[in-house]
Amino acid sequence: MMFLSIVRQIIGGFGTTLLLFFFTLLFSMPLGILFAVARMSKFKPLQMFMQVFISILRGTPLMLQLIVVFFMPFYVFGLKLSTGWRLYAALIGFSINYAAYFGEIFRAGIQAVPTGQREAAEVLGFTRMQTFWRIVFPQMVKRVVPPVTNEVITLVKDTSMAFAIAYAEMFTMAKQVAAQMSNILPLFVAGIFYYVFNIVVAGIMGMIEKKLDYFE
Amino acid sequence: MKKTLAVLLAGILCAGMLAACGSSASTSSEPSPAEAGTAAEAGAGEGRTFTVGFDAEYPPYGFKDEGSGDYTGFDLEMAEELCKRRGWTLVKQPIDWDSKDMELGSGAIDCIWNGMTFTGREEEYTWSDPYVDNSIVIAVNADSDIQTPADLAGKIVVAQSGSSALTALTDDPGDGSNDENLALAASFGNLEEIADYNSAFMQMNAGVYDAIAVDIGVAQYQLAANEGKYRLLEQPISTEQYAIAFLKGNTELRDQVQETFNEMAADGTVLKIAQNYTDFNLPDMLIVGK
Repeated sequence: MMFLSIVRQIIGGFGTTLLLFFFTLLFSMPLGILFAVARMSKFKPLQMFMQVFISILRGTPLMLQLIVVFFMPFYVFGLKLSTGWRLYAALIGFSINYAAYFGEIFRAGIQAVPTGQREAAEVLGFTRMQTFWRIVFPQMVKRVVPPVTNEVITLVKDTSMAFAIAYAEMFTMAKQVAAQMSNILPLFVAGIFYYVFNIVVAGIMGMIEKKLDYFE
Repeated sequence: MKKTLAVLLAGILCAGMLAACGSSASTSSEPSPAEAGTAAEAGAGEGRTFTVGFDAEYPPYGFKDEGSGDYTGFDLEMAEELCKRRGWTLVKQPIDWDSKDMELGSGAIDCIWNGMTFTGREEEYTWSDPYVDNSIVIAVNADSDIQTPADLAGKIVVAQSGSSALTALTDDPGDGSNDENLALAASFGNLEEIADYNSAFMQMNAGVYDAIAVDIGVAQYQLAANEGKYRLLEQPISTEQYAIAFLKGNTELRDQVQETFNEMAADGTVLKIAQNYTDFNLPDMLIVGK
């Protein structure tokens, strides 16, 4: 009975975690490609800027980045903050942070494609865009699936950091239920939720990996 | 095909960012505490939103109701009644207690109404009149051999970070008024900080801590929920008062809230709400409307 009550209350927070997870992935993946391309740009200032930018994103706590994104409109621009802004700030903070990691993974994937292929494409009259999207990108996608899976699984668990800016996701709910019941069980129930969700994520990523493995 | 997909994704990304920016911009048009406090907007109070910041892991003042899943508690029930009377829309915003000053300072919340200790923080916020008399007590395991504060020498004591219990044990006003508690704290083996009291009690039960310095209301909630596991030392280490905290200088909003709160105290509503929390001794702790 108590267990059911805990599950019912935690499910309420699962939606907010899912929302944060899904939209962060949706935004950070394309942004990661942009980061990777900019990081490899032949235009030195852009390349240097991206190098420093990614280094800061990877070198400072995500929790701090969330706080900066959430409070910046007020402390820098004097805008008023609302409760609705919490979700957007969390999405922006998570997306940019994860884009930095994805960007580096994508860069590795892109650079793993032999230069000879690029040269061949040039000889065959492909434009640079065509070369990237038709030759380099598909091969990069295949190669980066395992490290991307790692990041995606980490993201599921990292969503619990969003409470730094008072976005009440699932783990916050679990802590609140634990305080209400004065019992540690809700935290374990939340742990089961994360684990099951991650098994599903790993399963889907495994399927994608298999499907992309078309040359084996 | 892949290109179209990439363009589509990039489009969604841009739309998302724009929507986010749009929402932050529209936010600025809403009435906010600082504006309401500085601009002469006394009449514009009707229909505004009133965002109460609270720690949702702080029963009985603010917590998640088991049945409905909504946030409730002594302070939140009073905030509900107050907003009903003023025609305001109440927003209950659980916050990270360590960020409460940033939340208040940036206008993300209008006030902190959550068993907020007034004593010792008089100058930091604009306050309502105090409404609850609280004591800070020491909780120990039921089978512990600690009987008086003197027995705490060499023991590991914990308090929530940013809490009034921690302040009571560490604050040095320099005039000797808190020397007794400072000496007590110095006798501890260690004074540790923790994010929330619920974990503190669980960890004490597991033997990590010897004692917890905590507000009596919270302590009684834990004692009631875990019968026979914990007990309190008879002698409180300090007494203090609770009030509603507003951003410093926001007297206009404070005056509006105080006016309605006084009505609620006068017609017995405050006492009635406190009686929903008799288990936690709240009616006895109340200092208004009795």
